[in-house]
Amino acid sequence: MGELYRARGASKVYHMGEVDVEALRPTDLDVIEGEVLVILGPSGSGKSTLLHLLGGVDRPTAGTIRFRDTELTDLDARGLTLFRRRHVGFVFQFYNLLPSLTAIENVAMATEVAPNPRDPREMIALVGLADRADHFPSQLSGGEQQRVAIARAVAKAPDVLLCDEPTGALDYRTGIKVLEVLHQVNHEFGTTLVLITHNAAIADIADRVVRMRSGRILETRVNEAPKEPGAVEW
Amino acid sequence: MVIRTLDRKLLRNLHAMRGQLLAIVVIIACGVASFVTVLTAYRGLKSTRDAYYARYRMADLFVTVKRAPRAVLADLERVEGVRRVEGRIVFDVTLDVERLWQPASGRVVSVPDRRAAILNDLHLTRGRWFEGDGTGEVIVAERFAEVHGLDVGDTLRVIMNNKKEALRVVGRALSPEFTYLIRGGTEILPDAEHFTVLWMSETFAEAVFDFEGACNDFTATLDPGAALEDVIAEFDRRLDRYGGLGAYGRRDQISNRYLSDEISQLRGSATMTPTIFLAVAAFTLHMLMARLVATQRTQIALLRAFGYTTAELVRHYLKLALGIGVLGAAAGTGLGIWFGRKVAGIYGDFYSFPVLAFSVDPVAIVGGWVVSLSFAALGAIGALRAVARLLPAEAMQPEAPKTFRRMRMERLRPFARLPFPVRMILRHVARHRMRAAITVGGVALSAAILLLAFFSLGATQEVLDHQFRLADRQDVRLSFHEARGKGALLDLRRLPGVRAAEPELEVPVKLVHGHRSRRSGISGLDGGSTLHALLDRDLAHVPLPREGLLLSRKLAQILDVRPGDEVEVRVLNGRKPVLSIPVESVVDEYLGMFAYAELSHLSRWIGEEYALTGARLSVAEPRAIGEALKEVPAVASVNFKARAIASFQATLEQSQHIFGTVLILFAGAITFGVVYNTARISLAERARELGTLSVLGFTAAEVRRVIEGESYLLAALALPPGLGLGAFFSWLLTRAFDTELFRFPFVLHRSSIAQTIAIILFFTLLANLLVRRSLRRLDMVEILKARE
Repeated sequence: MGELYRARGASKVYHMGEVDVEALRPTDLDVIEGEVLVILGPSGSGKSTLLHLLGGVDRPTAGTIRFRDTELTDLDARGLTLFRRRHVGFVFQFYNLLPSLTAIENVAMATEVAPNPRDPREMIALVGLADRADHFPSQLSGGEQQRVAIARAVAKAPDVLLCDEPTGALDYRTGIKVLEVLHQVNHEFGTTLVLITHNAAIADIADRVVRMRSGRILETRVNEAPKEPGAVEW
Repeated sequence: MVIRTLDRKLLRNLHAMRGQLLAIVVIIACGVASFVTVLTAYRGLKSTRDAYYARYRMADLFVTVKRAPRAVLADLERVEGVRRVEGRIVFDVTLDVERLWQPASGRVVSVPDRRAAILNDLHLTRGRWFEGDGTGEVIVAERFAEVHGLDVGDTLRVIMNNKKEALRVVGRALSPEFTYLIRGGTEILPDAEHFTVLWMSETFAEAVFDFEGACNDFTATLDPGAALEDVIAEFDRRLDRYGGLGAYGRRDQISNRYLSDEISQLRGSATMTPTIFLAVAAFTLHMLMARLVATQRTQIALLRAFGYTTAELVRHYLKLALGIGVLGAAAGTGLGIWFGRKVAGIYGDFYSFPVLAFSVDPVAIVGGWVVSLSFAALGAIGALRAVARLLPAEAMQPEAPKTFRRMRMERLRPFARLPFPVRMILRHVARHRMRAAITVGGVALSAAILLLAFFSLGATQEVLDHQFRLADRQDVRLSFHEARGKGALLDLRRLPGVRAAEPELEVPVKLVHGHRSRRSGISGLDGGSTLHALLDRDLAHVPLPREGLLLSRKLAQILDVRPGDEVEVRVLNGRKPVLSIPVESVVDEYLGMFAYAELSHLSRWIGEEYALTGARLSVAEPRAIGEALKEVPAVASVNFKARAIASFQATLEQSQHIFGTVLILFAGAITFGVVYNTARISLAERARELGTLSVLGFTAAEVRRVIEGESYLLAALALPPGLGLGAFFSWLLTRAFDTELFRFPFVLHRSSIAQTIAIILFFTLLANLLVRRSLRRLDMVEILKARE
């Protein structure tokens, strides 16, 4: 398996008024194609910043991030947009569905800008919401909304799925269900999964776990026996 | 100190929304400005006129006769209700002005040799009254003197009573009866270059016109409460044997008529335009405040939890609205005063007043402030009620999630084929119907204002075209001092470069039909006339009747006659026959109102074989004919069509440019303000959605389309009702301007509609460009982190 991402000395400093906040200290990280990588850390540990840098939503202050053969740091705003469009699927803590579009439309909308999309109906069926496809977000529960968000992210056939606390706003049972769907996507399509969470239990499903605190990586460990999401408890 | 903190919050709120507030302030300012401008102009013009008339004793009644002994004055003074009567000598003469290659015309009006407090008194701007008996001296109209650089001591050559005399200019003056310095007839704009009043001493005028002890014109003032109609009837009875042409009141005096029409039109527009602006401003403010209160729900709840009373909070938000009202009023009154002065300048060009009393009018300013603050408060009512109704516990909860439903139109098949951004836009609009309605309403109103502006420009052009290109086909139109025989026409044909000369006979008459009557003139034309076309509504030629009369449609309406009816024609000069003549057809004319008859018939009606009082000429070289006519003493006035068109255009362009520019800017301000506010509110509400789209890989242009698409959709929705309303306003305008002096055809040109649409789209684009700035500032990362 090759490297999907190769970050070297990537750091991020935010200028907050008159103080500089070093959200991410210079960091090296590799993401391997097809793996499930969980980045674990408390809030303020820099994990979201790292995820945003990987997703091309934000740029590092220093250092480089290479995605396959592309140096993300060389891309301009439009280049980053095209990068996100072609390669990245995002899943957010608060789902961020477009409230004015139905479930199926939210999925289909994302496929319109992707080069080789998957069938939106199949994706909605994959996340188990075929019968709710024509509901608006306001008519869906949180877990259902998150599954639609996953279907939307997967439908564009991304190379990597970046998930920002995908279960953070959900109760335990619903959270498990969402993890199962993510797991299934990784297995069925071989999509690389990078998942950030503050919930240590979730790390059990990972192939590798990165622990962060105060803007730096504390340790990276390989999980010899990843659990099925159904077996995780918190 | 507590309230002061709240005030600081208020200021910060205002600052955060400054762009949107500014847009509303601009709309309010436009409304207040138009209100202040029009009110200033109306009150200024009215008080100027009233003061001028009072101070210089403008007469209440006017009458021209053929010739009457001065002794008749004593007789007229005895008429009940008459306060004072004066007799004078009035004659139209031709001037030979060196600077001009064509003759100019003048109206001699005699005044006493010695300065006295006469009716229609003169305001001497330069020079002095006459010396001795005033022989050889003249006082000229200020405007004419100004145009020609005539000053005291200069000489003016005038052809009077068939003799050319060189008169010495001793003064320049204004008179209330020539406030609008116009010759009359078909002319509707003053032409100070070619027309002047020549005031001469009575002794001199008597000598020149062989009028010793006689006069031919009377003016009178009436006692307060006197019945004008009775005095007119009595004057007509007593002056009949002196060739009285029929007395008329101040209302029908030509200069006053134009001035007073202007004033009453101003009063009409003092209400309509400002109301439109201020209503739009109130609605937009309502929209913005509703959004503000919605986003500040938790803050409001917090303040209430801290113990602020409902009244205090309502006052807090009311202050915000009134703050906008204050800014709008301040900017609007300032703008109004500035523009009022511009308008005053335009009036100054049209009317000659000794002093233009356009001061800063306190009534207009106080009115502007009251109106501005009331509309701002009106716009805030909805939000204030929401504040008052908000329960603290409820408000601490986040706002209920946005619910979307399928719209009825989604059952239609094509909807499923629409791209997603379009579906998002449509559903968003359907969800915020009230806001969409306000936006559509505002844009529609500005489209209506624009169409009205373009319509009036187009209609004026239409009138010019109709009059000068289709109806008046001559190059030169001239009139004689008195009726001449056929020989005069032959003389004209012999002048250099004359291709054709057609006779005209003007007979002053009173037309009577039942209890309706009107003073008018009958124009006698040759049956085969080619230099004056009579046209109906479809621009088809109407043949001159062989026996009867042809009337302007307006005159037919006033007399309530239809083709086939007979009217009583009371000829006012000569032997004053009274005839009964059938009306055969009507023509559509936009300027003035006339009656036409075949010239030889008309001649016979007044007991002549063949008479003409003027002619229309087609000429090869206007300049040559101009020079030639200067030497013909019988000619009273000469009118060159090309010159008339040029002066008409110049005057219209000047006033219409200002008027048009202001209307475009004002309508633009509405469109811009409303669209900008809606887009900003939409942007604020949908920041998260747009951020999501951006993160998902949609390009900036694709994200923008969702917001801009909504603006363009609303603007497009506003166009049909806006254009419809504009057409309705235009139609109302044609009704309002249906006067005896001029009328507008109701013709909407495709270009007017196209220009309206283009301007609406331009200002929508402008608003969107500004919104783009805010859109660029959207921080994706922040949006993704934040929970609603």
